[in-house]
Amino acid sequence: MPRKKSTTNLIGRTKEELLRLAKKFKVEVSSSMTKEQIIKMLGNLADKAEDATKKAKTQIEKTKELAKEKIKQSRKKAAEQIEKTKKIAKKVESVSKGIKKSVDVFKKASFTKPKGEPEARIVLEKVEVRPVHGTGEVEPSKYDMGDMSRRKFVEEALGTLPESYEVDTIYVVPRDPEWIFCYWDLSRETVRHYLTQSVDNKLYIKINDVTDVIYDGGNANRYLLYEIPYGTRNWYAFVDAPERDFVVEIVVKSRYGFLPILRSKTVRMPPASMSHGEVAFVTIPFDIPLVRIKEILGPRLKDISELAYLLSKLQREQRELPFPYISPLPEGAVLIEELWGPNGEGVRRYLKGSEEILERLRRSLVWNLSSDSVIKER
Amino acid sequence: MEKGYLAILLHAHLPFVRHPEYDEFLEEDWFYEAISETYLPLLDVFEGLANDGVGFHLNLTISPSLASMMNDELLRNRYLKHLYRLIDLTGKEIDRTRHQPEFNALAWFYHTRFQRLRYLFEEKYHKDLIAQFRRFQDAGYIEILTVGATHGFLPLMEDHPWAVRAQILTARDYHRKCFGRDPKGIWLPECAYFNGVERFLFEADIRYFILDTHGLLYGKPAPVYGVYAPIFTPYGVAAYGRDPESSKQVWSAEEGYPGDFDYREFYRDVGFDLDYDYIKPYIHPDGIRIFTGVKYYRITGKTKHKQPYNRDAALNKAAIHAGNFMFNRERQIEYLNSKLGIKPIVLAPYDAELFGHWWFEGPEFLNYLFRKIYYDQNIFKTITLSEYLRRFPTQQIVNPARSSWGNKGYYEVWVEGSNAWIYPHLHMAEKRMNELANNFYGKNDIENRAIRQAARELLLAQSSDWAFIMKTGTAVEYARKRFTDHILRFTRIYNEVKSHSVNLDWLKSVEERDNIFPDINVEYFK
Repeated sequence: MPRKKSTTNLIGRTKEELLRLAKKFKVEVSSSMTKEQIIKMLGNLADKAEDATKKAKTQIEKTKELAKEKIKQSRKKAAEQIEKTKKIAKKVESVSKGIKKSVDVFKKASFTKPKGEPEARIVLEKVEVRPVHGTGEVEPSKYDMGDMSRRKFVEEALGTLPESYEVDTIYVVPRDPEWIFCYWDLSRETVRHYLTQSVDNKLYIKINDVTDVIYDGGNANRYLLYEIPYGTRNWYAFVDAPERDFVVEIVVKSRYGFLPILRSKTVRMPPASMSHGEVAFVTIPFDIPLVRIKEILGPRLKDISELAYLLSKLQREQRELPFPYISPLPEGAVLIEELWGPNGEGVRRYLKGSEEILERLRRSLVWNLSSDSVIKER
Repeated sequence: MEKGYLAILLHAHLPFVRHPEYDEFLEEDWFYEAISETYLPLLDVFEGLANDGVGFHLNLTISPSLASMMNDELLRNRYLKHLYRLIDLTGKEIDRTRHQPEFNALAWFYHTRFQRLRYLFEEKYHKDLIAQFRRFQDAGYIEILTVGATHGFLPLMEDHPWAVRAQILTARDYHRKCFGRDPKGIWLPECAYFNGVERFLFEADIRYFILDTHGLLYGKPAPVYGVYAPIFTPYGVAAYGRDPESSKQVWSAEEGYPGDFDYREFYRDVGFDLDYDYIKPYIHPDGIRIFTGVKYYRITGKTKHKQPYNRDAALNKAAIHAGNFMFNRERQIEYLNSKLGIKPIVLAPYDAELFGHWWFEGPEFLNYLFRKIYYDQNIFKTITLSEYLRRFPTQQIVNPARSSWGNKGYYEVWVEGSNAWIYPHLHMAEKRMNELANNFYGKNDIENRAIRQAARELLLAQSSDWAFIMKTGTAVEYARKRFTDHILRFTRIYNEVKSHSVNLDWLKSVEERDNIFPDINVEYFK
């Protein structure tokens, strides 16, 4: 009978070694047993182990198959989820289209020069369409550890931040070429005072396009008007108007027209495309302090915001300056379209790049190093 | 003769996180991990390059809040404690993995690495990282740029010029104290620009700043050389634009180098992987599992079944990527040179902490890259941003566009649903600070001290990181608490100064806790 592999390496050993081995593996043998008998006992054990290994392997295979099946199922589920998300996205798209439509209608409807008596305007809900970010940046199960409830901050009894500072103020910032962000604060007294003059007991936010006009309260090129829900103190207004100027007001409707309570400064929306214009060069030596250059220009320089243009003009006129400069100044070939496409469409592509590159990674960085992520995942 | 230049810029910044009121504080780990994985390895790379006679130039921003932490004795000692604990852990790991050769080799790798970091930090650098960066600055290898004092988002302070001025001039002063010279360049926090910020840069004689690509290209008029030459703004301050191509090559989620399967997997860390009882002494004392920096796996692929990290294979890949990056820059610069007729500059800015922390092999990539650039080609050279302007002082005048390097390129990341609530409080505090500086400063010592602390509290509240963290939805509780605490401490000081009733004991405790900028100048807030 061919000897099993499990016993072949036992034959060369002495009886004492075999006894020790048997003891180690807790096989019941006695010193009176022959070498052959001991080998047989140990061989049985080895066979059992082999069987167990085989069983375990089969089990592993089964588990693997099960896991595969599970993965399949979860993929299927994920696919379904994606489908759902797509449907939602479609809905969002149609909603945003709706909004866009309403905005277009609204633009046509309300962006007319206002005349004396206020008219009822379309009031849009405050809507912000946000991009859907990819999920699964982090595998959350890994972080299901630790009990954050044990973490305590040292309390300092500093109180809480007030809801309002009871001062009359308005702040506006052109957040991007499409949106204006604005917040305001009003004392109760002011609100009470103005509401007594209101025809409908309501506050409104009025977003005025004042491009190329000196705004006097009634001469906006066009305006948006929204009723302010009770307690609201900030607003994101969708204007989609790169490089146009806006003034935001908090108003009431009185019998004589809009009565402004707060009026912001004028803000200009940022550009969203490239612009062509006169190309001017200037030589500004790096090692001469700007203050020194300002001194050199003397009273000819009305404001430091004109320094480069004034210096450029002097250099074009080949005036004597206490430092060398290139003359004539280069004119510069306009190759920009070749690099970035007509109207800089290439730039937009890279804006997305910024998002991808830094936001993602910084987010992951913060995520992984912060205690809060642990809370969130629990 | 070279045909153009490459300016690599690393932006090193962390918000000021220092909590003496706790024995250990989770968010301080941001700083400790960055030292171990980024700052010390970078210094080590500089040292190696300099010793081997490799000429290289790198631009590095070190934000004043980060520099303040590097200078802080408490944080330095806590970092050492952190490092000793890692040496202990990896020692135990060598024993635990003795029957798993692949992991055992890695345990040895980490153990040796942490021991070397300890040697560098404690014995060689005497815990003073600032002095080391300064050394490489003085030797002409690196140019150090400043950032806003606490990385405040400047466009949202535009209505309060004293607030912008204080961010910039406080940064200038602290930079001078740390690096022995005035900064020539600034990284506007988040690259966030508004027209007129140059007025304050002019005052500080800061000669250039950085814009995201569109900040320059959407300027008026569009720059004829695109982002491949700086421009002068109407104030005479120069601005450089980010080259999107080289940025994308490193950081794109799809095509970027750090996603290579041979590189170290960031998410698999023994802090999360090992038995709780075993790892407990090395995680947060409250039992919260944290990243330890000991990671045994490589990215492997889009699978959960990760393979053991192979250091040699990873380094080999870093060298290949460095070669690829250099090749692409050669072609890019040759092309730009032929098209534009100038020696172009390609500006490639990155978050410094991502080199080493996120992309573990990042410092080695830089090491190989600088060596290859120096020895293997002559199309381009590395350069500092000051040097380029010194050599080419004639540039186009362009008025840049409002922009930032955040998502979608403008201010949205810092002004949206999760974080816009902070601005009424921030702006009120800015107004009140101006009032304190104008009407109450210089009258008596205790109130002066209180007003100086009020200025610190305001600066700390202004850090753009809080709004960013609120937006990302991580560590929100901490960011909210930090912002709120600074505003409330500021408000209490404001009220106490106005009523001439400064509580000295409490003031002392706040000074001890928020000890940033000991020489703060209140005049800037006028």
